Amino acid sequence: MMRPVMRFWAMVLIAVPLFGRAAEPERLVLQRLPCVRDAGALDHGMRQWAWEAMKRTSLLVSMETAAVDPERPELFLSPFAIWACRGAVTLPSEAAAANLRRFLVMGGFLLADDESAGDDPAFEESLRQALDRILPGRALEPVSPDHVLFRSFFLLRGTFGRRAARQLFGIELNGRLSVLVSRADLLGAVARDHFGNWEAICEPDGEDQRERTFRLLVNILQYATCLDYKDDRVHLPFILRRRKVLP
Amino acid sequence: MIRDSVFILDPLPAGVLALAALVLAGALVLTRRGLARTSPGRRLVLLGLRVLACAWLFFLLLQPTWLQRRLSPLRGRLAIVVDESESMSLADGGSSRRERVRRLLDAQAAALSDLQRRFDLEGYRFSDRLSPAPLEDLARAANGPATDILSALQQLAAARTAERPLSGVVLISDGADNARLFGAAGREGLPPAARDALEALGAPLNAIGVGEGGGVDLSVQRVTADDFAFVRNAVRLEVEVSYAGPEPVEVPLILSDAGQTLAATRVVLSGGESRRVTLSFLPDQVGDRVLDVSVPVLPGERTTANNRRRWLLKVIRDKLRVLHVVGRPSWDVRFLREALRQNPNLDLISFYILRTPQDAPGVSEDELSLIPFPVDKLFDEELRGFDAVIFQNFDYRPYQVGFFLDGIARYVEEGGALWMIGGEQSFGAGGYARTPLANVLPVRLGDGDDREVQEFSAQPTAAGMTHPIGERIDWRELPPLGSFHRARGLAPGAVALLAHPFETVDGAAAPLLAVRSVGRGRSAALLTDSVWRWRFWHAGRGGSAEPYTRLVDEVLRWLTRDPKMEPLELEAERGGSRPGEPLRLSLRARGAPANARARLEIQDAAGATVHAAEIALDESGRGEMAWPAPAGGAFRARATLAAPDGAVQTAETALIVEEEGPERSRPEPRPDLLRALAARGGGVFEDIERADLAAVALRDEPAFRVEDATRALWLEQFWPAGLLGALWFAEWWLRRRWGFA
Repeated sequence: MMRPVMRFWAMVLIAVPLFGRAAEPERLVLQRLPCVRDAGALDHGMRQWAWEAMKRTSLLVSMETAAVDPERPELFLSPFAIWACRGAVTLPSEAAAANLRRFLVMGGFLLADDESAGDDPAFEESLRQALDRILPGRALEPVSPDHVLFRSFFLLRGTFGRRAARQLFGIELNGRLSVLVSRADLLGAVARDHFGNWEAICEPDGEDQRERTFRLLVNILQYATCLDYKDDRVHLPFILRRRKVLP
Repeated sequence: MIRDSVFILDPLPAGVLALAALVLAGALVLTRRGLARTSPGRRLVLLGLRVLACAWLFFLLLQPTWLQRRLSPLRGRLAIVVDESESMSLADGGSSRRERVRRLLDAQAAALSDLQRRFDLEGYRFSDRLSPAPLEDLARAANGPATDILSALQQLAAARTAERPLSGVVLISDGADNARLFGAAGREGLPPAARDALEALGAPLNAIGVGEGGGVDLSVQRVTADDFAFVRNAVRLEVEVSYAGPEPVEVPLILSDAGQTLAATRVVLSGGESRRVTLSFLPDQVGDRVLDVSVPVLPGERTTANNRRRWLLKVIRDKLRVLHVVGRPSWDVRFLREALRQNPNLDLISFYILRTPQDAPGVSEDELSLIPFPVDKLFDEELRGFDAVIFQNFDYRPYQVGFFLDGIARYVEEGGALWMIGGEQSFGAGGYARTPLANVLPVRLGDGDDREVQEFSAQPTAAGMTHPIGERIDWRELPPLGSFHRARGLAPGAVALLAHPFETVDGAAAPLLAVRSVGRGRSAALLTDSVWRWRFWHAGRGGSAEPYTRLVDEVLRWLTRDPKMEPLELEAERGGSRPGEPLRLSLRARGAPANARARLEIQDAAGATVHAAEIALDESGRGEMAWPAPAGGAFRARATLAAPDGAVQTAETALIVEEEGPERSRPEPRPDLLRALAARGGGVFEDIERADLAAVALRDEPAFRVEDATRALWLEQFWPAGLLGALWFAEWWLRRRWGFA
């Protein structure tokens, strides 16, 4: 029986060639955490998200997402994990909860997105239970509209998601937003089918709302990679002027 | 013996007198009322008698007394006070000022003898303090470190008592005071302390001025600046330049450090004019520096000792200012930013390229939080304000940064620091080969894409195990990396701290982390963009963040020459030194074997070795030495120690031995000050060539010592009481006669 650490390195060595390849830029890999049921349109949404992020910004994002078992050390191959489910998330075991806790404390970022957009209360209930295990004593709090997340690339206001929601929730660790929860099905709003058609209608603002969702998803990636960069003093006058706070 | 008698009053306490005055006044009022119906003549007589009686009684309460004394006459003292400061050794017009004083005293021997018959003559010399001296030795020396006339006058006044009164003071000096009377006697007149001291003398102060004014002298009178400054923060200093001469001049004023001009300006001066000029510069390295402010030597200058002033400036660090330039957000960027932000001693300025020219956000600029990349400001105007610049996966070409690469390379060579971190837009892949920046990096770059993707475990080199950056990092447990740049080898003088485990360049392991000292600056190259794994993957294996954050912190500390990262540390005692006084130096070597011996050399400004010695280090690596008798000037001390691995470690510090004290730098005679002192002190001023000691102003009032005294109190005698009784009787008798009683 291979020890977990050895298994981890074996996977790494299989995943990439041993000898050098010419300049392949490192891309951001987005990992998926398990759901009780299949994640539905998750892959389509994540692929479109990655594509839009690369088209609009300098980010390089892998178009392929990686399913990851939160119990295993592979969770740490990327500091970005998504828990997007149509229905309940898979409740983590004690070992998985401990691994996820360490993941978040040591710098990881978790995006949780309710694919039912509130139709199925199982997502929210299961997520709360899971977070209670992962970060006991830490409650989800509304993310302030002044949070740097809303200006990490686009200056954002208004509603997001397939079914409009204005509010996001989160948990901060060491002054950094580590868990972000959406109840509006962000990934469903940006998913395309194989023919290039949008898979869902955004309600009530239609395409404007979809565009805002794209922008929010881009901002989430920028925040995950640049943290509070847009809170640096040098940015403040420009942002205030564009938000009409300054003349 | 002389007898005399003086009348004195010795009144009762004021309260008693006040009460008595009230009672007597009340008595007079009652008397006046009682005489209301009598004729005016009689009323005047009776009231007059009562007033006389009350006034006599009140006078007696003041206790009038005759004091009978036996006096013996005292001889007054005449103090002859001669300046022995170093400026008195200067020669004006052939002979030194001291010599001219000596000639005066010789020529005035007859006048001195005459004065000696009338007064007790006392001789004093003064410089920074007053000391008694035989009359024949008054002009013997001129080597005092300062001229403090006020202190001398205060000490004279303090020695004065009723038993030892002063009849006069003769002050012989050039007046070139460099203590509290420096610059005094101008428009503001003498300061209150000087006026008080003259008052306290109680005798006329006569002054005899020595030294010729006039001639040409251009001088740096004083430099007002702090003893310490923060690196990369502007240092401002105020320089007072003065000029004496017939024609106006325009001269350069230069601030320099070891011959390198830091700031310069031109000053226009008329004869007798002083001007204050502000200079500023940006210190670019921590450590002790000897700064030099100078003006040129004009033809025929009286002294050239005051054309330059030096002082020691300690440049310290407040916070590291680090510029972090990133070509593309990534996990490597994310974790480096977090490590930099968590360092409380670091002020981080970041610029990340979030959108390249090829990206299309699809919205107007107003909907983006992006700001212009201020290339000119960062890499031209502000560059020297940063302690270190980090280029992380940054391609300079799309942003016109290429125009500034030469300036960035110069910034490094002149004391700055550069850290380049890998990525597909960095090193050779970023097009840095054949740019000026390639000349200051620790690795030699190849043309084109040099980045390769492969898994490997970085290996510390032998140098890396003992280098201050890596000596406290346990490299063995760290996860493998996923990319590396294949450089063409190390640059001259560079050291590889980490290397690839099996890739080689010119027979040596391919460098992965290399550092280099370039000119006065330093550079580092981390030839991978996957070092974030040492932070996050390592955490997934139960490891801590420490190796990664320590690596980031210590690379920056080494780059910015944190003294605690240097293997050798050499310090001189603060406060400078004077010529001939021993100057102490201490050395600390990290990791040196016990009983190691370091070599110390002290060089003057021209680079000549003026002193060399060996310092024995104790078990803790510390050692001390004293430079026995340095001459004046600015020096650099350099310690060298052969490390166990054969490398030679060095440390340097600047030293200053004050070569020109105020006596040499401000020797201008001040007859105006002496004239003002004599005028205020009730004496006369005269130039030494016309001085006549027989003509000085003296207090000729005789002084006596009271041998004994007897008191005769009037109240103890009959007649004052008899007179009081007679007045009362007369009033009583007239009252009876006129029918009032």
